[in-house]
Amino acid sequence: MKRELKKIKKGIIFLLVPVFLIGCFPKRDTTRDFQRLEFVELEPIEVPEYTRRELKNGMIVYLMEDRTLPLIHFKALIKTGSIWDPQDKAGLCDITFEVIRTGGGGQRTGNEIDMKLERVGAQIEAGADRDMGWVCGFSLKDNFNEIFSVFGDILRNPLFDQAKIELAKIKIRGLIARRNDNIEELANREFRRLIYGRDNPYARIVEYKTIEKITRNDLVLFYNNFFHPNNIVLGLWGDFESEEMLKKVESIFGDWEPREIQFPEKPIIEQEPIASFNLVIRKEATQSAIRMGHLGIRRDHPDYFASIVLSKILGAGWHSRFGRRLRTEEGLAYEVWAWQTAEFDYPGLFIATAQTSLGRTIEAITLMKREIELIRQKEVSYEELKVGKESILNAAVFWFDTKDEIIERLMRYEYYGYPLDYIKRLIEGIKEVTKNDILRVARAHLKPDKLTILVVGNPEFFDKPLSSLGEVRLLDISIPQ
Amino acid sequence: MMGLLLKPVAYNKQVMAKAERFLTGFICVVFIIFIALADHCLAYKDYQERVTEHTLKNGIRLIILSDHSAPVVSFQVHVDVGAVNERVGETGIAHLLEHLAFNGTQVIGTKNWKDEKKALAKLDRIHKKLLMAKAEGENTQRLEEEFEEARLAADRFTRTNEFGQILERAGAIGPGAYISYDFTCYWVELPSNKVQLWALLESDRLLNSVARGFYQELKVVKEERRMLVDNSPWGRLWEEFRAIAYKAHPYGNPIIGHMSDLENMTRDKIRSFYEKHYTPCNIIVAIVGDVEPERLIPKMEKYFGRFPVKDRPPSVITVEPVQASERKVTVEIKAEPILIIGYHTFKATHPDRPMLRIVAEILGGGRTSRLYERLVKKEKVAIDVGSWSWAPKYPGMFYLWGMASKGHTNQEVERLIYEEIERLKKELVNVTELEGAKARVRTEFIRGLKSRRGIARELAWYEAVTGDWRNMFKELEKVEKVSEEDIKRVVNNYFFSQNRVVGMVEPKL
Repeated sequence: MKRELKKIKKGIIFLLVPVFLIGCFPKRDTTRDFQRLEFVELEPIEVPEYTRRELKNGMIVYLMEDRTLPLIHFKALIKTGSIWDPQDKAGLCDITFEVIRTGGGGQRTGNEIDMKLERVGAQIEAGADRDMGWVCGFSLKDNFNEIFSVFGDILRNPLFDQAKIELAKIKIRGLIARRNDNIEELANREFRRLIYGRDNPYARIVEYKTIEKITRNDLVLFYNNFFHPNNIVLGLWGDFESEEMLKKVESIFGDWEPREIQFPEKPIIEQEPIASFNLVIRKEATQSAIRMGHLGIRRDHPDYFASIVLSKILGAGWHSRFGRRLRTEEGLAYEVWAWQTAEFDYPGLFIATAQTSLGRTIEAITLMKREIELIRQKEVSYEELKVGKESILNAAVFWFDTKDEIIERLMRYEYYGYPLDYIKRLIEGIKEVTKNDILRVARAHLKPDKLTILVVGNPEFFDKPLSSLGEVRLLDISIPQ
Repeated sequence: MMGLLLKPVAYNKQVMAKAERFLTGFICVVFIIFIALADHCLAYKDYQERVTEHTLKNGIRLIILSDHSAPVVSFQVHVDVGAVNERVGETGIAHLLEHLAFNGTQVIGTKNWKDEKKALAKLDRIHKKLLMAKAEGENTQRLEEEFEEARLAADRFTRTNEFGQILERAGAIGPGAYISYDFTCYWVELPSNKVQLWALLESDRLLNSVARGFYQELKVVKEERRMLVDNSPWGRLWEEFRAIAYKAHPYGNPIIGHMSDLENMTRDKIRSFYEKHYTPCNIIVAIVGDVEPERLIPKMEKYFGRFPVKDRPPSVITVEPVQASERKVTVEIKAEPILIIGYHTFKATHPDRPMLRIVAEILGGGRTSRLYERLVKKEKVAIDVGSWSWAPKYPGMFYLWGMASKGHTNQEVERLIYEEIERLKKELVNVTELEGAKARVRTEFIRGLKSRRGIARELAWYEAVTGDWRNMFKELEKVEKVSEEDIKRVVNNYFFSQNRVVGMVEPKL
C-alpha cells in the first residue's frame, strides 16, 4: 500500500526589507543574500515498502525491512490502558506492565530473563499510559531468535512472580513519595486534574492505599481481560527478510487462541470549562510554575489541522507570539509556550505554560492571557500564516527520515483506528489552512474567559496577590499516607 | 533517570551537564568471540569509510559523513570553549553567549545596524552607570527609568528571533544549542536543499554576533538558573557537589553561572570573550546526511573561509590538587533523599578510559548490574541506582548515584554501594559478566549509528577532545581488550575514600 506524498512546496523567501550595506565592512556583506537563494525541489517523499498482515487469530503484523545496521526492533501494542483501572485500585495497569516484564515468562524467572537479555546487549521493556500498553525491544540480528522467543513468553505466559509484584509496589511508593519534589511535574499533574476532574481516569493519580489493595489475582484478571492476539498490533523492523520473518511470527504467536474482548465503557469527561484561579503554596520556590488552559479537542476533529497552525503561530517555536514577545522581548521566562495537545482517542488540552520569577507572576498571567485574547480578535497576518505553514510543511521530511518513526506511526494509526494515510491527509490539510480558518478555530476552541489557571509558587513574593484576578482556591497536595 | 538531573528544555536546548553525560556515550567494540564478526564490522567500517575530512585555509575543521537514505542533513558546530574557560567574576558567560548567538548579527535580526549600534552603545553607557550606582548603594530609580527608555529605543531596530525564524521556516528541526564545561555546540537539522542557507547563516553568526537583546536574555538566563538549579533538588545538589569536588579547577563552577556574576555581566565582557574564543582553530563542523563533500567543501570555503586567522586562546592551566581527605556535602530541602558519590579520575585521552566505561556498566548498567541487583532487587533500599564515567577534556570523575526507597536512607544506600565497590576490589569479575557489559556497550554503539545528530555530535567531540574523529571507531579495540585484571586494577586505583566526594539531599522535616 504505497502512498506517494505530493511535492512539498518550496518558496523563495521574500521578506519585504531592503538590503543594508554595512559601512564598517571592507566589502559588501552577502548575508542578506539568503533572500535571494533558490532551493531545488526535493524528491517527493516516499513511504518505504512495508507489509501488513492479519494472522488467523486476529493479530495485526507490520513488517519493514531496514538493512543498514545488524539490528532488529520489535513492538507490540496492546489495546488497554490505565483508564480502565478500578477506581480503588488505580495503578493496576502500571504494575501489570511492570511485572509482565520483571516477573518471568514461560520457563524463565524474571532474573533469568534479565541475564539472558543483558548478556547479549538486548532489551525488552514494557509500559502503559492512559489508553495504550506496549511491550517492545531490540536485539542484534544474531541473537534475534532467542530474544524473540523470550518476547513471546513474556506476552503469552507471564508468571507474575509475587516477589516482583512487591518490588514494583516499592518502586511506585518511592515515586509517590517523590512526586512533589519537582515543581514542574507537580504543576502538570495538578493542572490535568483540574481540567479533567480530580478523580477522572484521564487524570487521577496513584495513591499508597490504591496500590496496597492490588493483589496478584488482580494482575492475572487484568492480563486475561486484554492480552489476546486479536487485541494486539505487532511491528518488526530491521535487518531481516519479511516472508521469513512472518514465518517466525507465526511460529511464536500463530497458535495463540483469540477471544472476544469486553471493553469497559470509556470514562466520560464531565468537566465544563469555567474560569478559576488555583494556588499551590511552595514556600521554598524561587519561581512560579504557571499553567493555564481548558479542555481541548480530539485529533480527528475537523478543526485539528487549523489548530496545529494556530498553535505554531500562538505558542510554539521561534516564530510564535509567545516565543517572540514573552521570552525574547519581555525576558519573562526560559520556557513559555502554548499548544493544543490533541489526543487520538479523547479530548486533549489547550495549555499555556511558563516558569517565571515570583515577582512577575501576575504580570506573566496577564501577558499570556492577553496573547490568547488577541489571536481571537483579528486575523493573523498573511506573513504569520505563511511562515507558520512553511515551518511545518518544510519540516515534514523529518516525519519520514527514519524507518523507526514511519512504522511506529503506522502502528499507532492502526491501533486507534485512524486511516493509514492520515499523515498525508495531515499535510494536505495543513496546506489548505487559511487566515480565516485560524480566526474561526481560535474563536471556537480558545476560551480566554474560561481559563483554568494554576500557580505553584510562594505568594509572599508575587507582584500582586493572585486574588486581585479572582477568587482563589488553595489546592492541598499533601500525600495521603 | 538522568532526565531528573538534566532535563531537556524549550527550543530543544539542553544545558548543564547533560552534554557531559552523553559524551561518555558511544564506544565501539571489536568482535573476537562472535562469529558474525564480518557483519558488524561492515556496519561500522562502512560508516568510517564514508567520512571525508577537510581543513579550510583558515583552520576550521570539517568532518562530513554522507548518508543518502533521506533528504535531510544534520549540522553540528562544535566550538572549543565552555564554562571551563571562564575567569573569576565571569561565570556563566559562555552559556550566556550561547543564548545570544541566536539573537542575530550585524545583518540578521536588525532593521538598521548603524543606528542600532549607536542605540546599543548608549544603553551600555547607562547600564555601566547603573551598576556603579548600585554598587555604591545610591538611589537608582531615575537611572533605571532612563535605562528602560534606552532599551526600548534600541529594541526598535530589532527583528526579533529572525535567525531562528529563517531556519524554522526553511523546515528546520531546531536550531538549538547546548553547552558543557568543555565546549559549546550549535546544532540544526534541515532538508538537504537548504545546505547553502545554513552555511550562510551559521558562518555569519559565528563571525558577526553582536550580543543584541543582551539585557532581556540575562533575565531569561536567570529564570533558567532558577528553574534548573535553585528550584530543583537535583540541580541544587549537583551545584553543591561540584563546588566541593573541585576547589581549584573551574570544573567546580556552575555552567549556568553564579547569580551575582550574572547580575554584573556586561556586553563588553561578552564581546571580549567572544572575540578571544570564537576563532577558526577552535571550530569544528560535523555534517551528517544527504550531501556531496566535493560540492559542499567549496561552499564551506566561501562562507566559513571568511574568518580571519587568529591565535589559539590559552588552555586552562590550573590543575586540581590531589584531595587530602574525603569531602562531603549535604543539602537539606523539602525533598526525598538523593545520593551522589564521585571519585576523581582522568581526562578523555587516558588509557584507563575504556576500563572505567566497563566498570560503569558492571556496577550500574541495566537490571543485572551489581548495584541494581543488590540495592533494588535484593535489599530494596533504593528505587533506582546508576553509575557513569565522566572523562572530559581535563581530569573528570566517576559517578554513582542512588535514590532511596520510601522509608530508607541515603546512609543505607551509601553503605551498600561501598560494599559492592569493595567486592570489585577484591574479586575478579566473572567472564560472562564482563562479556555482557561489552555486549551492551557494543549494541549501544550500533544503535547510536541510527541517529544522524548523534553521529555528528560524537565525531565532533572525538575530534575536539582526543584530536582525531577516528578514535570514535578505535575505541572498539580498546574496550574489547579490557580484562578481569584491568577491572580489578582500576577499581583499586581510583575508588578509595581519600579520593571520594559525597553529596546528598536530606529531607528537611
